[in-house]
Amino acid sequence: MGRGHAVRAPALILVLSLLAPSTGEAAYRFGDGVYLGSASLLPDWAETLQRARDQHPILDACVADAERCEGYLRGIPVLLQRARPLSRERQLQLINRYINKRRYRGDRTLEITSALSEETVRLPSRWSTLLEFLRRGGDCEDYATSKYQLLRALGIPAHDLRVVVVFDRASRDHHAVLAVRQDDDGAAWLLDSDDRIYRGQPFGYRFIYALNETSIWDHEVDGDTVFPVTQPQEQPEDSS
Amino acid sequence: MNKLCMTCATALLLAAGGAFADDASTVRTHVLEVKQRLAHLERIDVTAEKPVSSDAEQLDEELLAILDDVALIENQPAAAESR
Repeated sequence: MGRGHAVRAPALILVLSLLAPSTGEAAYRFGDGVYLGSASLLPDWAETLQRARDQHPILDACVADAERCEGYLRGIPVLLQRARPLSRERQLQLINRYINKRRYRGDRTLEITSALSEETVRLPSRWSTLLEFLRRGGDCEDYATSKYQLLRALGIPAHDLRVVVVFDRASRDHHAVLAVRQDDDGAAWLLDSDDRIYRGQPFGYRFIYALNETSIWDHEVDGDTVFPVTQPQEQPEDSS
Repeated sequence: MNKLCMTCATALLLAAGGAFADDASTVRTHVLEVKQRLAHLERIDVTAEKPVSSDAEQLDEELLAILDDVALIENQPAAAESR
């Protein structure tokens, strides 16, 4: 890549971002995103993943022995035990509805005003782990990450799951849903916090980016020309 | 002969250095683009609240029973707490 191209690349990103809305009516597919890099590149998400790993022993102990569950976790052993024999479709229906019944709490956005410029900066809310969400509720991305963690606990591998951040054309707001891969071609179902499960039909979302515990994908830019980064081969993993 | 070898070696090193410098600047450019994009993505405020949709599919009785049982357990005082 020459220096002239390097200078033009940021402008190209902007142009591609502006052109991207035309892709929004397609169904979500796992193969469509452009690999941006490791999940560790988004610090807030990486910290959330680390907290989830730190909290895993609490969840494991609770599932192994319901007497050791803290109050807000008491239903989890029964939920997982009853969900395990179900088909994947019914697991998705059950987990989607279970998490959607929890309390919405959207009060974690911070507004910080600079003393020098008097400019107010609105910082995005923080991602929650499953345990944090069950304890105190959360907003839409926390619903998606909690479904992600419960489906992982049911044995669905990470490479079949993505939290997808979208722009909802109807509400003119950013939203998060959980995508679950359905077949080897990358077709996905989307679990939404309004209890719907989208099975490939158009629904007015424009996909922006997606992430899971290993990677981040961009759905707005053309990575073949802008981000010449090669996605590592997905390895078979322990699904437990 | 030795001088000629030294001159050739020096020329090769300079050429290789130049090639590596060019590669390094290219890589830096890509990393910066990804970082800018990630910084933009991380600033997106994802807080939409969606009410339950009237289009949502009905769950069958087995799934509803599981949810009821789980809710019952969650709403009961824990054995340890009630002691």
